[in-house]
Amino acid sequence: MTYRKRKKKTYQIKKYIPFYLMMMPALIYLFINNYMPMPGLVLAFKQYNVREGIFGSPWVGLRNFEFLFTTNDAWVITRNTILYNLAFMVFGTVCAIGAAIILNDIISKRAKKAYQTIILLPYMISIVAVAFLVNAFLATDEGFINNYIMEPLGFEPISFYMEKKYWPFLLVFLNLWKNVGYNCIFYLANLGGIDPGYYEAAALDGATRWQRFSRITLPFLNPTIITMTILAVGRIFYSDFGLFYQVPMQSGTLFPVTQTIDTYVFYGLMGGGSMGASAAAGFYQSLVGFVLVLATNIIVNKVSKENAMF
Amino acid sequence: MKRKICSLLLCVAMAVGLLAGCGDGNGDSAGDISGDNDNQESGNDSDSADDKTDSEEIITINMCTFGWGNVSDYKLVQDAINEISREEIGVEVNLTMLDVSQWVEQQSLLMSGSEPIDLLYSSGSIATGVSQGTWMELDDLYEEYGQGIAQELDQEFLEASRINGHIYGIPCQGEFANARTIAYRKDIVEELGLDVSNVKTLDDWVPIMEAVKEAYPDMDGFATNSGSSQAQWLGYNWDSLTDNFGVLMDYGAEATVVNVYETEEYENLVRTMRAWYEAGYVAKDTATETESINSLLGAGRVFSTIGTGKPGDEEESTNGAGVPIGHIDLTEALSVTTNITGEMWGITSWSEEPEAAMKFLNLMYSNEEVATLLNYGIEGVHYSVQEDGSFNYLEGQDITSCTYHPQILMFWPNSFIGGFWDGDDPNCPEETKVFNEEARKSIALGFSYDNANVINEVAACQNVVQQYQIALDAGAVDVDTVLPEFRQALKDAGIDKIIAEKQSQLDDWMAQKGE
Amino acid sequence: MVENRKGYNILIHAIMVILCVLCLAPFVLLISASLTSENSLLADGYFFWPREFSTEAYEYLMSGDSIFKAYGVTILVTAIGTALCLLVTTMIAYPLSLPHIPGKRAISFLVFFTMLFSGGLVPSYMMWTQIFHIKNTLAALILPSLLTNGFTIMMMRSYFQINIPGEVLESARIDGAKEWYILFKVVLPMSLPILATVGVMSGITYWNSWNNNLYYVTDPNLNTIQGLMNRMLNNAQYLKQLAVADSANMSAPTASVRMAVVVLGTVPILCVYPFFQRYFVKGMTIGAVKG
Repeated sequence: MTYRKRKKKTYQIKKYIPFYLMMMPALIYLFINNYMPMPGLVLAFKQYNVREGIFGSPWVGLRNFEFLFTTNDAWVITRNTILYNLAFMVFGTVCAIGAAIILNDIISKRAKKAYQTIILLPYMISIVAVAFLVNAFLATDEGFINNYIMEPLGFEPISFYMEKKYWPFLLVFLNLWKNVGYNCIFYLANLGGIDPGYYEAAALDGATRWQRFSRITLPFLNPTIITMTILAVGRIFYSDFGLFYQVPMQSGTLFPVTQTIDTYVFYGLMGGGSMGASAAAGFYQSLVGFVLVLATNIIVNKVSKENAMF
Repeated sequence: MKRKICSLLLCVAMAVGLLAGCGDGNGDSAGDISGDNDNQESGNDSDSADDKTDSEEIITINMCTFGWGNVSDYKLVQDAINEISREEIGVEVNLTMLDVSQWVEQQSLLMSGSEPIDLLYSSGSIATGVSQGTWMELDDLYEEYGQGIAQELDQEFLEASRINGHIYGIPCQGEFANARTIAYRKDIVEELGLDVSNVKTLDDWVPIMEAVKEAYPDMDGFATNSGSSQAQWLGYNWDSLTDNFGVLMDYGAEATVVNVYETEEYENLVRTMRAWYEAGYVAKDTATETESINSLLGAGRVFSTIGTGKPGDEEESTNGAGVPIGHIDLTEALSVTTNITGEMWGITSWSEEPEAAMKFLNLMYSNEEVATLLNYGIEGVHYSVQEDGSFNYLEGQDITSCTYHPQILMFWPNSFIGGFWDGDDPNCPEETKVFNEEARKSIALGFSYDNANVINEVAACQNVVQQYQIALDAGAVDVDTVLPEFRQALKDAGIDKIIAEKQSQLDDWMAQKGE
Repeated sequence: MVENRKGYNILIHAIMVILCVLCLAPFVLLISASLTSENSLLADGYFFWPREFSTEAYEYLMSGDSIFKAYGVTILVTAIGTALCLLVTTMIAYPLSLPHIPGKRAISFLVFFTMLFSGGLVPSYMMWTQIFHIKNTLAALILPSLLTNGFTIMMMRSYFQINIPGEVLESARIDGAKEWYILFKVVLPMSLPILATVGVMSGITYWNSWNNNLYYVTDPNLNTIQGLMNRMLNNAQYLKQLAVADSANMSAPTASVRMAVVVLGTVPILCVYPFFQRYFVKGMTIGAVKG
């Protein structure tokens, strides 16, 4: 390496020092909060014993993972988890963008604020309370739907907690209902960043509403959509435990459509399951997500490099 | 492309480096605890600890439990207890009382050895914690410092709580047996002039419910599962051997482990429930009810349910529901291992002051003043003594405004010696002792089973039970189609393997006991 | 064209009104239930207005000062936590959004990795309590969920990438501005929408957070509002679950109290939220650059 090159390099590093300093607090924090406990992952391969501690406990290989795969339900819980997550991902994104665009297009500031606040409401209600509310609507004897809709119209009451066919729709609907107000905040921020001049120019050129959406709005939202999707892909083996555990009121008849990996692990380990087994379940979920994210990221890298996560 | 892979590898390498780096740091801290936990070390300590007490040094131990009711004044109670315990045994306690939900969530943390805790209440079977290394063997400590406990606690039951021949916890004083009962609104039965004295079985109950239904069409005759989302027939007249996957039928008369769900008894029970459900005695949504059974009974939505029979059960249920509740025994009282190991106090394996902890446990078990403080708090602050000797709230206070009323009598080491509340039967402790003695004992009383070898099958079966049993128990599904499905699903989940494992463990235990 | 605009306006308002009814109706049900007497609730079920009006549930919750203390703690935690989160997030997101920082991809990966893998509760708990001794301190309510995961960092990074033109930064550098100055005086003023977004998200997270309270705090003086409320809801559930084992005289929070708990936990932050919404204003950033 010649002297000049070296000098240039030191100069360059110097130039970057402020950036690294800026990143320090976050990196130190992530190191402490997220990376330092990371060795706990080895619990997935160990039979935990308090006396030996995490590192002294005996290795058991993949035994902690067995309970996830030896069951006949392995297929059902995996299918449910993935399908629900896909539905949440697709419909959630579409609805959130739709709501954001509508909110952005509303001129009256007061109406906008009111709408935006009200649709955030469901996000703030604890899932336990949501389960009570859902029950108030669906209960067979005194629920609203049966009492005020089915009965007056002369239909037989529906036992919602016994009928599988309603729940896939119900759960997707509830997820949307609960999260749309929150998720649209992301898109609102990005919409706020678009120069109205673009739209004015497009309108002058006679672009239709759809053209304006697909040529101007969407490209601006793309990075956010991609980021959110990659994140969702990473969590595809996780499920919203509260939604699948509390809301169906643990009704076993609904299990074929409500049981996910998380609820399965919960029920399975209720009778004094080991720490290793729950660590193993988490590890498995993370690992699948990780592989999928790497794959997604490679694709994104190929299509549009600037939008890749890393 | 090659560069990309390289940079990715670099990332992974960095991540691994980070992991390894902090692995050391964390390892040390974990090592610290486990080092202190070393049993032998604490054994060696015992002599020096003795010396300490002789030289009148006060040792502080940490103790943790929870309260159902309001416990905001627990530190005051702690100080009052310390006045006594300092005098008596030279030990002070640092008490922590959590809400029940916080307790449930923190249990895994408390039991994982990450907290400086000496004395801990154990709910559920203590066996899980034993296999995880949470509990210290107490045999020697009990010999040395447990005289007070020995006087109070029936030795038969202490023996039955041993696991692998060792004492790991001291059972909470209380009833060590249960009967299944029908709990019902006594006032309504009296009002309608019904005669329940001849009711012996579930079938006998039908005419009563029919009469109530006529008089109160809005009231459901029966709530299954006591309104909870647990399976109802977790134990009836059989020994469930912890988890019902393989039980001993007929009050545990013989040591043959059978699959309860294949038995005629179980089929009859769910058929009865199905008949009740179809006759309209049971609410349609009973399996997914959101209210507690006490609220349902109190508000007049439900007339009867399955209850737990023991001395003082009527007073207890009446207090809980706020309306007069009666109990009718459906089964004889049966004593099984989990009746004893379900509620215990133990010393953690990483305790640094096991002797002091044992002394304090002994004090809680045998000292009336301490037991009273734990049960009801401080006289004049949290309760007052009435003329008949029973306790009651202070003037103008009630269950919500009283600042110490944990309502966990059965979870304290010994609630028998600590006074009694207004409306409770003062003879309850004596009656309970007789009840315990007279209860039928399962042949496997004292046998604790370790499910470590069949944990995969247990996890699968738990899920099957969740899926089928609650609906079946509630009568909400057709027995002819669902019961065979349920049985098959359990077979597929490996219940037979669990039963075989249980049988072999039980055989070993019987053989050892016979020696 | 004009008519079209009018029609569109009516359409979007109609959609929003339907959406709002869907979101509001259950909440009305909740408020009504919290104001209904317990027995009427059990006997008649939930309804959109109280059939038997009673403020008992609120009186029960407001008795004693624990709830007011909890509000205080929560507000303090939310304010400090959100401010810290915004500062730390901005400071890492900005360099990551620039094109030519060496090691950027590796760092992004490290950030991203935390979103997927975690060591689990017990190791985290051991570390925070045994090395940093945060149990029963205010820090326990703030630190473990400061960045929660790398999510907000990624959001902010992509916002910077799209909305802060490279030329602006270049011209500032040519003018001799230091990077710190550029970040705080040039970039941040152009990023109010994303700051508001991340702030609101972090604020909501802190307000709604109960885990830290559950795991790291046993001192009743440090309870947060959601910690308190969540425990009440869960206590009721456990009482119900355990009823079969011990039908003892345990007092569960009643149904109306449970509903009142949700109302008290939700309403305050909803009152504050509209004040932050003005930062989601259209066209703010580009206008600022041009001016």
